[in-house]
Amino acid sequence: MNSKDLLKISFSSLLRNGIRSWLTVLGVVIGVASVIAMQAIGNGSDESIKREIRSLGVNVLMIFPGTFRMGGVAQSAGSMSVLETGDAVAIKKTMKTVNAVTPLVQSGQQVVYQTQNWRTNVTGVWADYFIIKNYKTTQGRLLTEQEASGMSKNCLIGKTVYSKLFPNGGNPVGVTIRVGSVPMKIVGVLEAKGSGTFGQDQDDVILAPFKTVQKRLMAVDFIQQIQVSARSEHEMTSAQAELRAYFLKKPNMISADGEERFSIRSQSEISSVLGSVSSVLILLLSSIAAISLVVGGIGIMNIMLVSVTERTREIGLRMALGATDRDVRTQFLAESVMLSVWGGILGILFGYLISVTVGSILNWPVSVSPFSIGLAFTFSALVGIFFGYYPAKKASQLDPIEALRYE
Amino acid sequence: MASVIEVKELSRFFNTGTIRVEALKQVSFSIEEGELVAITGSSGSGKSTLLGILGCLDRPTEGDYLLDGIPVSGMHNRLLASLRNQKIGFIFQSFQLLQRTTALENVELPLLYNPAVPAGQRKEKARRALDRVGLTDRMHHKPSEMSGGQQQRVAIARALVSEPRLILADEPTGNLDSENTRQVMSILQDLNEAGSTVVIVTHEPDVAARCRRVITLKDGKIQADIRNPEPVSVCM
Ligand SMILES: Nc1ncnc2c1ncn2[C@@H]1O[C@H](COP(=O)(O)OP(=O)(O)O)[C@@H](O)[C@H]1O
Ligand SMILES: [Mg+2]
Repeated sequence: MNSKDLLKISFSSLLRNGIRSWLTVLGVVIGVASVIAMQAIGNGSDESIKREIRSLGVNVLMIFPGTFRMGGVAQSAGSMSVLETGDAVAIKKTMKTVNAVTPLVQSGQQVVYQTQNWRTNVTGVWADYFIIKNYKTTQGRLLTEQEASGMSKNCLIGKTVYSKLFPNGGNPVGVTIRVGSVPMKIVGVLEAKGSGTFGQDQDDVILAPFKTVQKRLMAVDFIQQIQVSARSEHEMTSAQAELRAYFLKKPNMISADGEERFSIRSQSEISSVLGSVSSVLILLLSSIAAISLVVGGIGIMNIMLVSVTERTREIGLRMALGATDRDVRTQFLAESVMLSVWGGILGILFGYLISVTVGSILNWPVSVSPFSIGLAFTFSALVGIFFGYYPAKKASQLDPIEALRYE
Repeated sequence: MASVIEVKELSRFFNTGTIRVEALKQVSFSIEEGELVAITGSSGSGKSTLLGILGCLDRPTEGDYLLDGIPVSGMHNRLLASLRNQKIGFIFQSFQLLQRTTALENVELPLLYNPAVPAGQRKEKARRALDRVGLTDRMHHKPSEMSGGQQQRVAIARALVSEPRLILADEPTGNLDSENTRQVMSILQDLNEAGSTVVIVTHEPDVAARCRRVITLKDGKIQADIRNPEPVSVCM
């Protein structure tokens, strides 16, 4: 029997059991869809982590009040006050491994220009922040050192803020807008940075002098973060050690139960947290994939066993007419592989849809690679062979006389 | 020239739990090319068991069977399958057609397992076989759309499509009325006239009466082997 006949026979016998065939492949569909989605989302999160690292800036170290945990920053009561502007000043003056330092405060504010209204985050920074984050402007200029370290009411706006306040375009430089209750003058528009790991719009920002935001807008004394950048990548560790030593020397930096009340994180640590989020997702998907491929395989095996029983007489007849045990085995194996590969094809389509959906929700650049399609295809075919073998072997071992007599 | 069938002291025993059923005991006979032989006997006398062995679907427990001069008793299963495919045409009491498959496709079935027949020639051969049994106009009908007699004629077409040396029929008329029995027997007699060796298992006397030789089995032994000089003719 040639392979064309084989495919024709198998296909028509599957068609005859339409609904049953559809239901049988469901497990494989889910399994393969998970494989595809897993790979696409995995790639997407890798890509978005890389993007995040790029947007974090180079050789950046972040000092937070409180203890940094996998889930985020745990802030105990009163921990807000452990970081002071003075620390940033001291770090800038004394540490040779560090080439840029800025304190950071951030606050959500209503901004108004003429009839336009928009709520955005206003971040108070020193001019070093532009070095750390590698900021440039598309219009106007950055804040100068003097402006940023003083109480100037000049500010920079991100692209999103620009498009919200100036829906008809036009040059915003020199225009005064109201930020909360404070009138501020726009001196430049920031170059777009795109979206972050979790889809937050990094261009929906206003950058303003640190003190202006802290004192005028927020009227607080604490600072939320200090960011520094090390002079080079291999000075990261020594910079981190120096920073730690500095903060440990300060009074009140250890809590009553012995925990440090600050934490220093590098971009790689941040990314490993992000990475762990995506690896949890991948672990979840791969267990779904493995389980449903096995369940799907068992489903195929079950249906093939039923089919062998139902078609006992057909098998006996084919043998009487000259089919060898090998012919019979191949026929049933072809059917189960066809089932599972059909499930595989549907699974690839579903997996693609899932990936695209997840990608657009999380704003990750997901992509379904030809490799993963090949992998999914191979997997589904293997499932068909593995779980189809036993029923096919059973069929091929039937005794033709008894099979022909089967009712 | 060698006989088409030669069996020597052939026995077939079945072990069913504690009891040993002796379905065939030391049976010997031969059938020459071009014979039309009926095997009769009461139910349980061993007719079907014998036909199964003659058709290479089963093996004897003891004794030898030569098909076309070739000893088949010790042959590998796969060789037996190709012998069945090329040398033997089967006809069954219950037709054994694949439902939901057209007459033409049913007749094509044996050719699927014959590597010597190119795919392109199968349809044509099947069509010619259906012509011979007078079912040209039913080619694309499914078994459920045909009468019992027509279904059995499709089965006969399937048995002769490979132009086998030997046609074996197990109670081919068992499920048919007298009119269809006559039709089916006429076709089998025609085939025999045209040169095929035909062996028919039956317990119907008027079917046996149409055969030139009648072998009667009783309790797994040959009770009688009678030549019938004037069989009831085709055009009765
Ligand atoms: N597979 C089997 N297992 C056990 N006994 C069998 C088997 N096949 C046939 N027999 C027994 O062998 C004897 C002959 O059976 P069979 O050849 O079918 O008779 P017939 O076709 O003449 O009616 C019967 O007694 C039957 O019960
Ligand atoms: Mg019988």
